[in-house]
Amino acid sequence: MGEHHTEGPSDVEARVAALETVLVERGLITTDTIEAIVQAYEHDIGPHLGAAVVARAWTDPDYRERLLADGTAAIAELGLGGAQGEVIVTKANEPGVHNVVVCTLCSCYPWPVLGLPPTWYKDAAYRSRVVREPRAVLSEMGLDLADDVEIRVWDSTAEVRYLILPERPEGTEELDAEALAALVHRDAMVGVAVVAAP
Amino acid sequence: MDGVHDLGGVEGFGAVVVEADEPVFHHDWERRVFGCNFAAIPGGVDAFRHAIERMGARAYLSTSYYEHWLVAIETRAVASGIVPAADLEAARVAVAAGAPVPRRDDPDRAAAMVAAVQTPSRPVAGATGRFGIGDLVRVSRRSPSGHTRCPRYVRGAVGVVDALHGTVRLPDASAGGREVDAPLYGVRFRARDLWGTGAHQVHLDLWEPYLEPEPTGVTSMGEHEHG
Repeated sequence: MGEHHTEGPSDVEARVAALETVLVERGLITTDTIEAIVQAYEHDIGPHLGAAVVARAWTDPDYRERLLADGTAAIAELGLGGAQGEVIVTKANEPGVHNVVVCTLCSCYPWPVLGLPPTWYKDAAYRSRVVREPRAVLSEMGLDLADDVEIRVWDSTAEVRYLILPERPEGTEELDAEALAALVHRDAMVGVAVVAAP
Repeated sequence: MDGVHDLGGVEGFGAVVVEADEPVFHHDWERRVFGCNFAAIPGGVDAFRHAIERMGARAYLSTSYYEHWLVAIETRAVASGIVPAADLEAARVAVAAGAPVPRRDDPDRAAAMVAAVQTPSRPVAGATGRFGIGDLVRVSRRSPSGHTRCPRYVRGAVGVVDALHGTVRLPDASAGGREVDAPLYGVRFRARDLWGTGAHQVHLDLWEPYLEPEPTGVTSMGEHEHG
């Protein structure tokens, strides 16, 4: 880069562009595949999918049972699954039990139901601390659990991915699955939050 | 390897910082790296992770998630022989000097990839192994120099098998291109057996080669629960 190219690519940008160049030139990927994949994970594959799973489980006791017995199969019933979700296990929060998910070794996350992970999930602070002091981490993130609640931390060390089934908030008896799904957010399905009543 | 990536229990990273309304990607180059990972490069996810683990402790901690991905894709592309390192460097010099990235499209291929990543699949679960639900196991103290998915913080600790995940590709072998399958178990640990304190449980999925049988009720920590 010449000294006058003050708006040229950064080192990282240049490396990325170089990588894309050699991969495309060799036919190892096409430009529109890159763009279509990005489009899918940026707009189509996200926590709204997991929220639909949760809402279904809240409104259909048989589905809830299937979801907890074989998460992969029950989630596939809704047409969901795929990369980074070849095996999905669902753990239910219930009175006295709270589940939370981490990957201490990298950043494993159930893409087909939650999309790509947020930065805090990938960061050293969360990954190092939540297996050791989950109550303190959850409290800092805004979730204060009663002292008698048992915390179960799921460290995704293999290819099993974990989805947390939050507790259905009180006062939502009149809501249908679609309205319930709108209440369910990413953090509750990772286990760093609960679903609040509307 | 006992790398800095193995973060469970390490102290000193401070508060968890949450970015409100965080976008999926922060920079366009992150989008391109993410997409490039779907290229047809030999070596699976274990080789990908091992490449990141070998990038060096200082580099690992001082670079972002998608920079890790960039290293992993570059490393695999070169190591597999599919992209000569010199070609990658020549492309970098050209791009830095203003050369455009070539564009080649194949709509059928793009659509097939988008469909593939959203197609539910189910690995065939093979026979289970030597341990059953409720068995006590002690995690091996083995500290392999290569890739492993057995974190340091559980090594030597006693846990209880509480899930059988069938027989699954062993990452320790797969990262080096060898295909070895081994039974995979969900194992539950008590916080106080890991950290000496704490009332929570920690669950990990661990392969049979990481585990040794532990006699019931005879441990340095005293009696163990089975429930």
